[in-house]
Amino acid sequence: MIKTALSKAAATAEAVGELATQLQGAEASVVLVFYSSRHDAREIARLARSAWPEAHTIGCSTSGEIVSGEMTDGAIVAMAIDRRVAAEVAVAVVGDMSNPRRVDAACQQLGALLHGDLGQHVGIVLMDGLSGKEEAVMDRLGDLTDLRFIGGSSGDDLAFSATSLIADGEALSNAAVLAVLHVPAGYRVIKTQSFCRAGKQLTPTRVDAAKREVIEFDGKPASEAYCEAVGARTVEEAGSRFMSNPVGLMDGDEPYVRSPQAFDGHALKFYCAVSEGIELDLLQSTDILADTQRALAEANSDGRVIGILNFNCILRTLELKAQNKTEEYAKLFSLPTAGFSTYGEADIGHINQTATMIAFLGVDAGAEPA
Amino acid sequence: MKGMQEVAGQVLVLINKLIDARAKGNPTVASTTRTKLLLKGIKAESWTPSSADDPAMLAKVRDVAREMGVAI
Repeated sequence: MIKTALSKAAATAEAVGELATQLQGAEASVVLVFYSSRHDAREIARLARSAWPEAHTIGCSTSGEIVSGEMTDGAIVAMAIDRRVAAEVAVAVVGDMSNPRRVDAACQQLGALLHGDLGQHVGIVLMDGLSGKEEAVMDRLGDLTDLRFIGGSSGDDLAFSATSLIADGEALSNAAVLAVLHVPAGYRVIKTQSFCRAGKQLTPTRVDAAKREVIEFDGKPASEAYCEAVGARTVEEAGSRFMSNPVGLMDGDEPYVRSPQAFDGHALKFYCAVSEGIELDLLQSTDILADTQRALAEANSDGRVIGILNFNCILRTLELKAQNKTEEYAKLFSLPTAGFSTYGEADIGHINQTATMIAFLGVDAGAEPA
Repeated sequence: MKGMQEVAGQVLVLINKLIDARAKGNPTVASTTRTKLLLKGIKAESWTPSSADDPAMLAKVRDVAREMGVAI
């Protein structure tokens, strides 16, 4: 069983109390809590630990929450996954994201679950969205395990000041929380970014990876090359195209989206790092609602999905808000769903303008594993 | 020049060795390893058996293999 809960109460204790009431009856092995940054992380961590003492409690601050059929701001949402769905759970913390070697120690703590059957074990990764170090954590994690880690970067209601995470009673910053779930019935990964190829390529020929900046594309100043690619006459005009025309590192037909953030002189700053010498495709936005609907239908074509964790990029949420479509988006999630609007998404690597989701499957003795 | 041997395609050979060693016959792991390499700046499809050997790329693939704990 997977249960979800929502509280819009302003007082943190009251809000967590409401979540606990709504989640009653679930013998949870893990409870995920996603909370607006107006709540104090230490209080959330403590109260969550107290409310679900038998379960692991993990979560992070958001820039908007997602719960079955509703998108909110300023609230708290939670998902309780019971022991029949997640038979075993291990949690570890990467306490300092600026040192990727700390991932090794965290992985040691995750123990045997980290090397379990790939169809029955899935990882969740939550990272500080203002650390600027998500690539390094995902990179090292990918070195150390073949398990799929899905997740997102914590938000702070677009203040870009400070985000937080929680893990088993502790409040954290500049940290990553790793969890591995043994899910005997299996799971499916949904990754949807709602972009198609625009038919133009840009190859970074000079980058500053640490600053997530491209200095030159194809030997030209990055600002000039991007303006040419999108057909903009000025950088101001080009800047207005960032959301609809990011670039994608193509894995076959699958883009790993890199979203431009701002021009920095003639350089172009991104929300995640890009590699020098690897061609990127200019992307064109498509319909988030139609793409999401299709992705969900494909993932649940046999009706086995019983709950969804959704890590949806804040830029997608902003686009939905601009089009007044958040309600329609939320209604696509009629199954028990929880998640949040992120400052970055994770699936194998760190990506932008994407929704990464874990679809948990129900226990069904006759069904094939995922 | 007489006596000098031109070697080509070593980057592809090393990439394929790395993927095979990591995947151990599991196609899902082979696919995700290929994606991991791409995200690290190593695009397997860009290299062919006739690609000129690039010492920097050869060193990069060896470094990645070492980080992944794979002997190539």
